[in-house]
Formats: sequence, C-alpha cells, structure tokens
Amino acid sequence: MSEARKKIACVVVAHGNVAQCLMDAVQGILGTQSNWVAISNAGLGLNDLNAAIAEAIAELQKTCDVIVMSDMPGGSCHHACQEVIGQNSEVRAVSGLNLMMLLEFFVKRDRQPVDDLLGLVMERGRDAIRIL
Amino acid sequence: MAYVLVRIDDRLIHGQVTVAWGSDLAPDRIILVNDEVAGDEWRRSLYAETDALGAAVSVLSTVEFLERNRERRWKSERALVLVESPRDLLRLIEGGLAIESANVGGLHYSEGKRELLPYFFVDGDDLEAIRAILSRGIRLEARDVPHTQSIDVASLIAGLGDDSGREGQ
Repeated sequence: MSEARKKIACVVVAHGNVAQCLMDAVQGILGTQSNWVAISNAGLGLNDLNAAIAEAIAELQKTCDVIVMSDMPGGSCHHACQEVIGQNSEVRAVSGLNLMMLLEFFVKRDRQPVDDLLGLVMERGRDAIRIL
Repeated sequence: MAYVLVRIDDRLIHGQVTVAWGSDLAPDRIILVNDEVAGDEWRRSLYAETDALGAAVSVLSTVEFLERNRERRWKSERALVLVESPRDLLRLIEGGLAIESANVGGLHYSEGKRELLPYFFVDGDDLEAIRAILSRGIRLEARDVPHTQSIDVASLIAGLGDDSGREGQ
C-alpha cells in the first residue's frame, strides 16, 4: 500500500516493421513516449528473437513493470513472447496487437496497476474491431 | 462560458483530439463547428457518430453554434470546440464567442502554404485571420498534443510578410 507504484513499460513484438510503425503512429497521436521497445522478427531465428525480447524486458524491468504485446497468436513473435514469459513470471503478455490497444496502454498506464491496465487494453482492443 | 479547449485543426475530429486531448482534458462533449460538414447529411452523421471515447459529439454550423453559445447551452459541460481554420475561428469570435485563448493543433500543408511548424502551415488568408484574432487580445498557442511545448503564435508569425503564401522563396 505504502510502496509507490512502479511505472509500466511495454515491449512490442511484431512481424516486419509493424511494431515500430505502430509506435510511430502512437507517438504521432500522443506525443513522444518513454519506456517502450519495439522488436521485429525480421532476420531473426527463434533463439535470437527470444534473446532480443528477454534483453528488452530485463532492461525495462530495472525500473518498470512490463507488458509484452505481440501481433499474431501462433506466430513466431507470439511464441517467442510465450517462451520468455514462461521464464519470467513477473511479465504479462497479450497478443492481437492493434493501434487502439497501444493507445489505451499509453494513455492509462500511469493510472492503474498492471493487471487492471491489461484488462483495459484487452477491452479497448476488442472494441476497436467493428463492421462499418 | 468557459470551454476546456478551443482548437483549430483541419483534420477535425481525429486521434489527437479524441485520444490525446480527450484523455488529458476529459471533455463531456466535442463540438465540431463546420458549415461544410454540418451541411452534408452523410458527413454530419459520420462525425456525429464518432466514438470519442466517452465524449458526446455535436456537429454544428456556425449559426447553430453561435445560437447555442448565446443560450449558454453547454454551461454545465466540459466542452471542447473544434474548427477547421483561423478564418472559421475568427467568424465565431466576431459572432460572439468570448475566449481568452485558443489552440492551433493542425493546419497541414497545401499548395501555396508556408511552414511555421511541421503541423502548422499558413497562407495569406490564414495569417490575416490569425492577426485579427490576436488583435482582439486573444492568445493563440500552437501545440498538437498535450504535454508538448506550447508555442506562442504571435512570436511565431512576428516578422512574416502579409503575403506569406505567395512569396515562393
């Protein structure tokens, strides 16, 4: 109760340039953000991808709680995230990454504990999918 | 009546407004004042149905807005007013909108406009309207999203010619 809440960081893992491009879009909308890392699987075997994710998490965990977001359930990015969090129970992970999830994360991350934030991110991401 | 923000933005209602300013200012209502959109049934309903993350959205013509503003229609709400151009804002001010300051959030490039900031381009007509607004003692700040530097528009345009768009340097 007395302990100040940690900041919450995210690691975004996706195919091609998707992670970086989504973060570019987030920062175009919200302004520059801190405590995030974007990772692409391009050119990386599973071991290297795991290592890149683990390294990013380890760096961010020095000061923050960490949520990992990957693009596609069943894809290499998601598998790698699952492997890494399997060895690191402090980290939360979600898949199905979309822009609204990231916006919700960055807008709300200073206002609630990590599990509540995760719920909001999931809800906003699902709600963004609509037939026009 | 105090609005939480009066903003010039040629993208009208978009992510910077609903997500960035919306989460910062928590408006109850976003009021888009634009004669073209308000006069086009399809665009009007498109904007009126925007999911503004909890804020209601009103799309009004200049005349409709000024009438409701006079009636203090939104006096118990946290309303954010959006217009497309400095000229549109000047029209509202001349029609009775009393404000101390306004925000310039986005005037994007089109042919013949000069860059003041990456999100702020002006032509001669924009400059003329901006000067008319400033001459009424209203402060204009340029800032696209919250928590970034607020730039004083009066300083930004000091020294520019009247005909900025056509100087073609």
